[in-house]
Amino acid sequence: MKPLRLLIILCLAIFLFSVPRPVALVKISKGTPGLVGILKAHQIDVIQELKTCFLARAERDEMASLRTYGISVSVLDRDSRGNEYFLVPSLSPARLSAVSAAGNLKPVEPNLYLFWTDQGDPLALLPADVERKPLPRSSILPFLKTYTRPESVPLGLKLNDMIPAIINQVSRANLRAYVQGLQDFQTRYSTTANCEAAGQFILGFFQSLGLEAGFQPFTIGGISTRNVVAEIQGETDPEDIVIICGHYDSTSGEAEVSAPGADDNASGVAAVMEAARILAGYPLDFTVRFIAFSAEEQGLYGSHYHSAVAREGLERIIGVVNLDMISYTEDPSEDLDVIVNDASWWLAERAGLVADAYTGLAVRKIVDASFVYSDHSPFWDEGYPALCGIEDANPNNPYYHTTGDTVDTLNFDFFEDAARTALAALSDLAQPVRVGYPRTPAGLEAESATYASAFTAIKNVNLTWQAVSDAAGYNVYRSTYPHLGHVKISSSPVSTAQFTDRALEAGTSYYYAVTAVWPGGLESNFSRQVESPAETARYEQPESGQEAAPVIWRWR
Amino acid sequence: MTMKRITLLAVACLVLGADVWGGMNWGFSAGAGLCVLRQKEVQEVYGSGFPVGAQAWTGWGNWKVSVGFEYLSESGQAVALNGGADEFPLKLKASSIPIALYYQVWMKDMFLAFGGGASYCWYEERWEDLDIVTEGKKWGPLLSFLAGYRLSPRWSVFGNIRYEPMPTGKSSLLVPEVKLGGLKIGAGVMFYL
Repeated sequence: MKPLRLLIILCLAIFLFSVPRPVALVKISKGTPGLVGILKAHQIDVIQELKTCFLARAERDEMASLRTYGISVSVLDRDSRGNEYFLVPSLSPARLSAVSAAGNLKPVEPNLYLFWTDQGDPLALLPADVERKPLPRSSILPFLKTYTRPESVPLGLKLNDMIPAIINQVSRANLRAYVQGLQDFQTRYSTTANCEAAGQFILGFFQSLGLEAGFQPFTIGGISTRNVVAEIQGETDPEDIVIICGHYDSTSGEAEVSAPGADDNASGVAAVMEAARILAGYPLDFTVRFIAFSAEEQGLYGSHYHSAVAREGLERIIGVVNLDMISYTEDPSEDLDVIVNDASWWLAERAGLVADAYTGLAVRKIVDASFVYSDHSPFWDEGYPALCGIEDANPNNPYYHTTGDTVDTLNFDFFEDAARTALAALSDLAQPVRVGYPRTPAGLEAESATYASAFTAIKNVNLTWQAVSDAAGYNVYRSTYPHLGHVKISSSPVSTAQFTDRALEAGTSYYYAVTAVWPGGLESNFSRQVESPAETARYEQPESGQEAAPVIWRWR
Repeated sequence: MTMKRITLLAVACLVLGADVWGGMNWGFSAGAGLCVLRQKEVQEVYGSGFPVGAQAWTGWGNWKVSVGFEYLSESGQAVALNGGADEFPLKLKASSIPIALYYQVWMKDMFLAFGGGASYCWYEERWEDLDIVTEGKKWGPLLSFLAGYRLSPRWSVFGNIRYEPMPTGKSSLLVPEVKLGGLKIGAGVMFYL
């Protein structure tokens, strides 16, 4: 008997240890100070940031560790292996019950649900006109930071006197023609031949402007579709990229046959096309990429594909201006909602300042990481700053996702203002090269040398850039905020293409830009911005200035 | 903080008022030492420390109480964390009042004493070329072992090993909590009234 018992115990042990441990999908509530640091210290597989929480994959012991800090962790799905999850908005009770009948539906936040199925294709089970955002498959943990957002920051960067001339070229007739042209495809639902033809139409337009343009094909659910991408190479630092984008696919209750999608989102694509037409005639400091995404309505697949490729290629994306529904308004004094996540706060701030300076259109800045149903959101997941420009964060267009979303329902006063504001924001980031001014210094780099005493640490930041041949000197600017609030730190122009900013607080991030100056005092555009990141502790702890988490040793 | 002040006052009263109790002796000692095995990161900045100090002793029987004053002044150099070539001289000053209770045993003319207590430390670190000063004060524990030899009825020499970490409660890029002390080895002379 004894050997038999031993054998049973051995088999049981082998069985128990060979069964993979379930990895649950969990909701981790925000609110605990130093939460990001704790998540990093424990290497939690965070896959989505929302307004009030993070969604993550976690094993039981990881959940227990987080709970020791008083963090609220709740399980959404006990075993997440192999499951594909979608965030969906709050729907009418009838639609909610229809969706929940098709699969699992769990509330995550007010007006936000998580949908998944245990079997079958969740994409096929979700009604075509329901907004959805698939949860990323890879961790977003490396991109998470704690941001300090001030109440208000001055722009700190110079206004570019070419921008008014640029935005004044926005033509209402052109916007109408582009929307009409896209609407004429009857439907642009991603899986249809009409959508393919619409893509060809947009590509032909970009090519007619003489831009470098092409398709970016990708596959979803066995169906191939394609983004349309065009570029104007920057003259100063072409590897620094500003993106303006919108999705050209459309949907409705009869998506396969009729989805005119004038407001959603021929309007956004029209603004992108008009921006391309106008900027094609201007040299710019940085590269501008114009993108019309496909498969947004299926789940942001086009932008997901593009942003993932960009991240893989370590592309330097300064910012993304995503336009989605910018032409319908019931209220004549409509403002443009600009929605960002915590990491992109500066982009909304800057868009607001730019609108004040150039167009006068009221911009409503909204920081809401739960606003995920458009093409900016996959860029957030890849750690890129992105904003969504939209007529209303809660669309009030009665024709939304219906066959009635046609060009005759649009408000072209608002549409033109929104397109001009988007172009101003884009131009502000990409910087038109000004004639009669010094060239913009290229290739700015920052290198920090940190020195520590027992208690404090300082850093010297050494800046280098390429000399501008006819420059009398250079001004150096610094800010503690990205792309905002720069102040001149060189008392007089420095004569060489090098500057060392000394004895700075090592635990603070600093952002630099330089300009070239001519003898008469004329100053160039700002160079690209470089960051000297905050030094982090040389021992294992969450983040500088926050409470330390214990060192975690774990077998993987 | 109030409790700490009361404790300090109580111990001072105990020591200074001890002569009203019969059979208690007074003594004084002075010495210097070497602070080794301090935090490696602090040592990289300042090297080993050389504190000097003086103490007053009293007690009864085998029990002794001591209160002292110790001073440490060091020059150092900021550590370059990522290859910088600049030099930033530093100055550290730390003063402490160690208060300890010892159990002392005599073996002919030799004595051994073991004790423990607390020390109140205040410190200042200054970047000499920059306007950066860090100051603070904090209580910390101490453990001490002392061995001595009586040269005459009034004079003794002694050596001691003391563990006095001098925690500061402050974190830095280098360590979660900066500790200015460590294991101190010293020697000195003792005088009995």
